[in-house]
Amino acid sequence: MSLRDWLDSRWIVRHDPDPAEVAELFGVVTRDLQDAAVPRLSADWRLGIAYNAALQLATMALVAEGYRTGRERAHERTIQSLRYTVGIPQARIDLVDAVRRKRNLINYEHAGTTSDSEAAEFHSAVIALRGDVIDWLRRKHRVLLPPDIDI
Amino acid sequence: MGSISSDSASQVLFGATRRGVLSLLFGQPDNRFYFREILRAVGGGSGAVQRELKLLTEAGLIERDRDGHQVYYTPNRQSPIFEELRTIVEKTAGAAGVLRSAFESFVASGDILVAFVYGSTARGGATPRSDVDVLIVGSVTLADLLPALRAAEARLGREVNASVFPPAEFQTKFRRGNAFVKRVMAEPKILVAGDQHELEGLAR
Repeated sequence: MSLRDWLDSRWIVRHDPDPAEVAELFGVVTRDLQDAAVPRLSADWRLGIAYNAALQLATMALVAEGYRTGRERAHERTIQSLRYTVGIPQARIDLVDAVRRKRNLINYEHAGTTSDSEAAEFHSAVIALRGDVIDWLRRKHRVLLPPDIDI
Repeated sequence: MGSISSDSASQVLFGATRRGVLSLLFGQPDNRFYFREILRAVGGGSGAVQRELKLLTEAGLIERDRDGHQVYYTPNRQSPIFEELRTIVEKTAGAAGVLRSAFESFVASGDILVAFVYGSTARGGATPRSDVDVLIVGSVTLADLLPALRAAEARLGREVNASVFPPAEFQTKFRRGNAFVKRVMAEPKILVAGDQHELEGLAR
């Protein structure tokens, strides 16, 4: 499986990489990672915000490679694409995907099921993911990396 | 058919004691269980459990073996319906057994103190496709637990929704009246790790 196969299956479509779009996505990631650390917010909410940061990081890597996901199962596929873009190990992708599923439930029927410990664990995982995406962009798509990005 | 829940399906197929025995033995077919362990897990009277074990052994569905002075029981893998029975148990009465087995190494290492199934599966209102809600109290991380959860989902054919709480956070939330923690403590539960005493210790 590769992004080429995904394109053939129409799971992703061509999308021109644009440094301004990448910079905008970085802005969302920075904001969300800050918000996800605000202790007065509920753990459910903090988990959801950190998840959004992870989703934007995956979207950014896909955009850098010249793609975006189609409408169907967009979140799931964007997250799974991290394997083919940045080369994130499957176990780490599985954690993001588990949070995607957890977040879907929280919205409807499972309010309060996130522990502070889970929110903190996932927040750290997304910070690490951000570092990996920055390293990868620096190596593979340097022109797209905003100049003011700190590690 | 759609309205018949997996748990009520198991109630129709098996009586309470038989369901408990099959759930324990076929939910963890690689383990062997002594009579006292079975009695503790299944509950009920020792006469009823003994009777079930005798009937299931005579029917060739389980095996009885002796190890020194102790007698233990395992599913009979040579039975022509071993695989089918294991599947039926897993999909109906076996969610707790599958999770018990999935969490075994974390319990042994002390990373899981208590775990229980709550929600529709524990209440008896689950449909065959209902998610299994499980709350885990321990120091294990969600990332470390995921492979075991995914393996359990594959065996059950149902999604497993897990929440992991460190013991101190669980106790603090209970004391402060956290709505979710209070609710699950008041609702029916099926213990898959730890015992009633440890569970009660967390809710003080």
